Amino acid sequence: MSQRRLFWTCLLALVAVLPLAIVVHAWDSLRQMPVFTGKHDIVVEGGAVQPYAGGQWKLADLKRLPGPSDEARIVLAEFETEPRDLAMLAQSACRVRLVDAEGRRFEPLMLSEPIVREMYPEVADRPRCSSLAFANAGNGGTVRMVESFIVPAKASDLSLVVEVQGGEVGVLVFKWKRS
Amino acid sequence: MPIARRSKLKRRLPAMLVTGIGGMVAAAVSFATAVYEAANPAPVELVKKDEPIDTGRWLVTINNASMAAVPPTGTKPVDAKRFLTVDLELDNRSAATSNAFMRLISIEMLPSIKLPEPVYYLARDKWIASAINPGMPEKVIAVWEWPEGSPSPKALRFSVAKQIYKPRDNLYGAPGWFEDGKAAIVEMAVSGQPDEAVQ
Amino acid sequence: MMAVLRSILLLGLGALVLFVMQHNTPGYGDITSPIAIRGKAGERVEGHAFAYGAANVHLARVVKTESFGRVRDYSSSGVWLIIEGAAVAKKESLTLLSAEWLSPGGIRYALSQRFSTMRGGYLPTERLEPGLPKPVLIAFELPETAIKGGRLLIARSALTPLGEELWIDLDQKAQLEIKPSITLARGSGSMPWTLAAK
Repeated sequence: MSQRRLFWTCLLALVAVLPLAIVVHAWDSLRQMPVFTGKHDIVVEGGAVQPYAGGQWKLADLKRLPGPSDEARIVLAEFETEPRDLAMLAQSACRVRLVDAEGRRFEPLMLSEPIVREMYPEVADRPRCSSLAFANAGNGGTVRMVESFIVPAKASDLSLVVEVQGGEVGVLVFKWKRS
Repeated sequence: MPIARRSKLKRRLPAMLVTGIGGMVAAAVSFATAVYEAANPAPVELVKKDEPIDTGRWLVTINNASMAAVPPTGTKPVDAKRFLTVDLELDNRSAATSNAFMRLISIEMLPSIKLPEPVYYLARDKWIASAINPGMPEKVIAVWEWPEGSPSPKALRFSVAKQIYKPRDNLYGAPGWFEDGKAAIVEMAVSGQPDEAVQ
Repeated sequence: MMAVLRSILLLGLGALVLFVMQHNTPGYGDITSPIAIRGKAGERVEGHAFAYGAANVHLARVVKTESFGRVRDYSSSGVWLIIEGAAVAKKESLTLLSAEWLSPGGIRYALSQRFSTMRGGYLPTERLEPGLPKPVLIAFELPETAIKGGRLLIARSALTPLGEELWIDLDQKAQLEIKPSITLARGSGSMPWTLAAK
């Protein structure tokens, strides 16, 4: 009788212990899931100012320029931040992406296309979003940045996603109506 | 009840003893072999030049060693430099393209002379070599930039490393090639002494 | 006596079962290998993150590259296999870093790195944007026997466990002629290269 009880106790313990072992093993990964960290997208309308990661962020302009072929367009994103906490910004990595209506993610171009320099030479000289841009900014001034992307001509409802990594609340999503 | 339990334990005792002692003996034997092998390394074969060496993953032939003032690309460096160029033949015998030959050959030197890592050139292109395909033997030139201030060598000892294939490695059980000591040592004279030519 | 015999038999059976399992269960390499998506040359092969289509296949003894008026000859102890095709990303910007040729004998040949100086159009140097197909060039240096019955494998990276990999069979009926030489030069407009066979 007691042996039978032992058998069932062990079987029940197994049912409980096995999932527990998986949870313990995956604890660090689980903790980084958005549900547990409380991270969420901060959606901002284009032109509005939003405090984020030790700065006041604003998407100044999102221009469409002719691309290398008929099906492609170059998108020029001009955005700026007024640093409140320069030390914090200068330490963290900045990641920028462009997202379209279908949820496709475009990474910024490494080298700006020649047409950008041709049409907007003063914009092309601005730094890209990186800790270096903040480090060189000095105190008080607004940091103006630029990123360029290549997207299909049909891509619509573009929004710029800015992520400053390092214990932040989430990512900044700038909606831009005219794109 | 207590008698029954004791008899059960009594019956299990030999089995427990056998497994315990057996396990300990196995551990001791494995440890002793490791210690013995470390104390008495297998003698490394001495191979002449132009003889193919089987390193497991590669068939390597060291053909010639010479000192030169110009790297195989043919462009003379701005500052005068000395290069040790070693002509090799390499045959990849594994099932995939690999550049692991770059870690295969080293020069046995006095510890006082620090040699930089060699640069490998494909003889066919006279350009930096990339990975070598299986079943397509290639002639390769290994080039060491000889440190300034140390005399050009008259003869050298090259040590050629060996790699073995494990279908399951000890950590993950994944297949792979692993370092396995030395395959051979090649002793050879170094020709083309630029120092002598200058004098 | 019977009991001892029975335990020895059981032990032997256990060892046999373990041995058979050791040699017949898939290893770590097989379990974590990329997931194959099969397709044929001449059609667009769809993965989840990217798609690729092989268009023209050429074989040559020598490849010549021409850039800024300088011609370089690339000879080979085997044959050059050059594949012109197009690739596109589907969900996010990416670069296809791994292309391999799997011979019918199971040997994997990596993409040739010998024209690393050639810019424009070579598969691992091209950043692909979602929705914008780009012409891409692939070149292998192969022993002649590895070509017939082989297939092209394309993946984002060679090391990602359980990533997707396109397995593209070339047309087996078309008998490919080995040309003495192929010249690759810089193209203009949307084609980053021009290819001329002799």
